[in-house]
Amino acid sequence: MSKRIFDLPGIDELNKDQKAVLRLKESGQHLVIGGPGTGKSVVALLRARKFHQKNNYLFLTFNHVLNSSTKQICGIDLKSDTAQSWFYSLQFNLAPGDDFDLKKMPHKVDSNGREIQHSPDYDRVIERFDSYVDQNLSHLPATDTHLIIDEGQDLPVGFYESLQSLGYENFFIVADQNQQITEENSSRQELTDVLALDNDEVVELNENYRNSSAIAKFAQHFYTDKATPAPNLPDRASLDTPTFYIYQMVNSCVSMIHRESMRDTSKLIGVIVATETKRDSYTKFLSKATTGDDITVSSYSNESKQSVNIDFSMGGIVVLCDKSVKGIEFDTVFIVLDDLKVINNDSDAIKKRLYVMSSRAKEKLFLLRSAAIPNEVEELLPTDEKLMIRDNI
Amino acid sequence: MATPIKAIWLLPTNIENLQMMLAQGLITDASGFIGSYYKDVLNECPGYVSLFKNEVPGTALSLAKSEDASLISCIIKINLKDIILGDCIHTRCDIEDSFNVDDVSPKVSNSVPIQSLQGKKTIELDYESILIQAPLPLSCIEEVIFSSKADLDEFKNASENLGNVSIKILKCKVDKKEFTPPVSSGDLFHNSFANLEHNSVEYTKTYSFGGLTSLSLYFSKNGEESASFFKSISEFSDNENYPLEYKWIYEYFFSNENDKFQKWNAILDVLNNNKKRNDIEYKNSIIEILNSSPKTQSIADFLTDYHRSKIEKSDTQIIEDFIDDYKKEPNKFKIQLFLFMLFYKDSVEKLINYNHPSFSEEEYVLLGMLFGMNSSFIGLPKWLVEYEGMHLYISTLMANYAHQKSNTGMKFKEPSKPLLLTDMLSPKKIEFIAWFAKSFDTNDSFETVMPNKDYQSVKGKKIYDGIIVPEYRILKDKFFNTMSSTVIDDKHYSEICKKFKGK
Repeated sequence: MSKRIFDLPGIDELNKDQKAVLRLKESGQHLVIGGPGTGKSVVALLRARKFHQKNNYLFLTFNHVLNSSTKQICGIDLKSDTAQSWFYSLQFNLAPGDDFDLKKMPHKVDSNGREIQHSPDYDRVIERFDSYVDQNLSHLPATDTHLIIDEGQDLPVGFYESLQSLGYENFFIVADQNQQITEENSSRQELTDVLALDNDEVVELNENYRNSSAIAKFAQHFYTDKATPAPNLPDRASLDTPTFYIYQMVNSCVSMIHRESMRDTSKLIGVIVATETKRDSYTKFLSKATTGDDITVSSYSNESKQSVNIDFSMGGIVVLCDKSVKGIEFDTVFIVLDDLKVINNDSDAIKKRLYVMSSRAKEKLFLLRSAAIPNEVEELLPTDEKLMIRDNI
Repeated sequence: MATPIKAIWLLPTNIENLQMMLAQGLITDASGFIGSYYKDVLNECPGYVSLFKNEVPGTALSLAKSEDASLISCIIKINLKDIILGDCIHTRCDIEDSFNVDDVSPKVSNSVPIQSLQGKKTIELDYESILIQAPLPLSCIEEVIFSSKADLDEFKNASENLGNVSIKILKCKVDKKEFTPPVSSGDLFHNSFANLEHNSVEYTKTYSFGGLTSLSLYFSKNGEESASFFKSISEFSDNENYPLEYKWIYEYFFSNENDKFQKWNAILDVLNNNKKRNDIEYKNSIIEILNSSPKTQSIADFLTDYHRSKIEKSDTQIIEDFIDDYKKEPNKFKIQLFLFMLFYKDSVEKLINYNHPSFSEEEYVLLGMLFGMNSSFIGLPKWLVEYEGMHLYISTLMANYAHQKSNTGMKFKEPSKPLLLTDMLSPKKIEFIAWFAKSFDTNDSFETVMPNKDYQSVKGKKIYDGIIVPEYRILKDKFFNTMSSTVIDDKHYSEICKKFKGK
C-alpha cells in the first residue's frame, strides 16, 4: 500500500476562471458554481491555505467522509468540520447558562407534531441568535472568520441566514445544484440571493479536470440540472470508456477489484454501492480476498455514528454507500448496481445518484450487475457503445 | 556632472505570467505560454521579448493588467550578460527615423549585437526599447520588482500554493517608484512591430526536451552508464553504441530527416504534444496509432484489455515476460515495454518510485527520458526542479535547444551543470564516499583497494611504512541495485552536494 500522490495544482492546470477565483477579495461573499471535477473544491482548499497562517478561517463540508478526506489530502492541518456538527455546537455553546431547552437545537416538526431529527428550525434559531446579538453576549463568535463551504448546495438557506444573523459576513461557497442529495438544500438562485450577490458576480467553472473525457461524457448522460453549466467535454472515442460488466459470480467482481488495487497500490479504488447490506458484504468479500496483501479495505457507514476510519492519503479499496461519496474522488470506481432501485417512478432521483457516483472516477469506471438479478436501473444507462461498453465476466 | 547610470532592461508583466515562465522554464513571447497567458508586452511583438530601458512606460504597465484589474503587475529586470551570441532590434527615441519609408519595417541598422549593449551607460544608448528573439533562459532574470510588500507577499504565497512554481532562483525587491512612470500616450511600438519577421520556435519540443534532460539527470544517480546518457543528451550528441531507444528519442529531437523510426515517431509526437498533465487522453491517441496498422494492433489490444482489467497476469510478471523476450532478441526495439510502462506508471513521480528487479540501468534512464518528455519541464515535481542548479541549467539548455533548432543565431552561456553523483564519488574523495556509503546505506556497493606497497605482517595486521591512502571503487552492479531503488529528493541532493563541497 503506497502513499497516494496528491499534488497541489500546477499553474498550467488552473484556467483563467479558477485563477480569477483565487484572486477574489479576501473579505466579502463569494459563490462559485460548477459541475463535478471542475475544480470547485481545489479552489476552496487553495483559499483555505491562503488564510491558514492567519488561522482566521473554517472549512465546512457537508458530510464526515468528505471532511475526513479533505483534511487528509490537503497538505496542511486544515481547520475544518462538518457544517451540521459545527452548527449544532455553535448553537449549543452560544446558549447562555445551563438552560437545556436553549442549548438544544430547535427542530422542525412533522404533521404529527413530532420533531424531525437533523432538521433545525432555522427561524427559531435566527430568533435566538438575534437575541444573543442584541444582548451583546461576551462569547459571541469572531464574525470576521472566513467561512469556506464545500458542497454549499446541500445546506438550506436558513443555515446561511442564521450565520448572517450572528454577524458572519465572509462566505466563500462552492456549489453544484446537480449534486443536491439532501431534501433541505439551496438552489443556485437562493444562494445568490442569500449572499446578496448580483447574478454576474457568481463565478462559473465549466471545464472538467477530474474525469477522463469518456467518464465525464458518461456522467453527463445523467445530468438533470439546467441551472448549473454542464462541464465542457471533448468529443472523441476513448480507451477508457466505462465498462458495464454483467457478472455470473460475485467472486469475479471481487477478483477484478482486487486486481485493480494490486496493479498500483497508490491508487484509491472506490466501490460504490446502494445499500448498507451491499456495503457490508463487499467489505467482507474484499477484506477476505486481500488478506495477506498490502492492501487496506476500509468502509464507513453514516448510520454507525462512528468516526470516519478511512485513510484517503493512502491507496487501497474503499467501500461506501453512494450517499457518502459526494465530493470524494477515486482513481477507479466500481459501481455495484444491485440493490439500486427506482422508487415511485422517480428516475430523475436515480439519475442524480448515478451522476454523483460516476463522476467520482478520475481514470476508470466500471459498473457491475448480477446476471441473476435484472435491474430496471439498467434502462437508464446509455445504449451508445461510445458511452458505455457492455461485457460479461 | 552627474555620473550616467548603467542602462538596465526591464520587462513589465504580471505575477501570473511570471509564475508561468518559472514553471515552464523559459521567458517567451505570448506564443510560448503553455497554460493561460494574460496580455502584456509579450503579445505586442510576436516572436520577441520586449525590454524597456531604465523605465517602463505607463502603457506597458497598464497592459499587464488590462485583462483583469485584479492582476498584480511586476517588473522583471533582465540581465543580458548571459547572452553570448545574438542580435536584437532596437527602437530609437526618434522612432520614425528607424523605419524604411516604403515597407515600414525596421531598418537593417536597427539590429544591434547584444554584447554591444552590455555594460553601456544610459547616456550612450539612445534606444527606448529592444526586442530580443524569444525565448530567453531564466538565468537572464536579475531580479523582480514589485510595487508593494503586499504584492510581493501575494506572489510568494500564491507560488507556494502551486505545485510547479519554484521561486527559489529569484531575487525580489519592492520599489514603488518603478511603478509610477510618467503618463504616456500613443502606441508602445510602431505598427510594423506586430508583424516582425522571426524564426518560429518549436515550443512544445523545447519543453519536452527540458523534461527529458531533467529526468535523465535524475536517473544519472544510478551509475556511470546513466550519467553518460545524460551527458550526451545535454550536449545534444548521439553515440553509436547507444541502444535503439536512445536513437529513437535523439533523432526525434535533433534529426530533420525521415529515418528508420518514422513509424514510431507518431507516438513521440503524441507524447510531445500532450501538455495536459493528469490527462490520459494521450493514451487514447497512442491506441489509435497502434490500431491503424495490423502490425501493431495486437499491442493496442493488449493495452486496451489491460486498461479494462481483463488481463489477469500481474504487472511484475508482464514486465518479466517482456524482458525475457528482449533477452532472446537483444536488438529488438523495446516499444511494448516502454508503452506498457507509460500506460501503467503514468507519471514521473510513479516512475521515480518504481523498482523492478529485472530492469537494467539503461532501461531506467531511457524510460526516464520518455516520461520526462511526456511530462515536459512544467510537469516535473517541484522538488526535482529545486535540485541545486537544475532550474537555471535546464532552462538554459532549453533556450539553446530552441534557438539552435530555429536557427536564430542566439546562444546563452550555460550555468554550472548540476553535480552528478557518479562524478562526486571520485576515488579521491575518500571522506565523502565514506559518508555517502553510510548515509545512504550503500556500503556494500564499494570496495577498498590497498596500494601495491610493501608491508610487514605483525600479529595478523598489515603494517605499511608511511601514509598509505587506500582507493575506493564502485561495484557497478551492487551500486545500481541499491541506487535504482533509492529516491534522491532535493533535500538529499542538497545534502550530498554540501558534503561533497566540504561545507
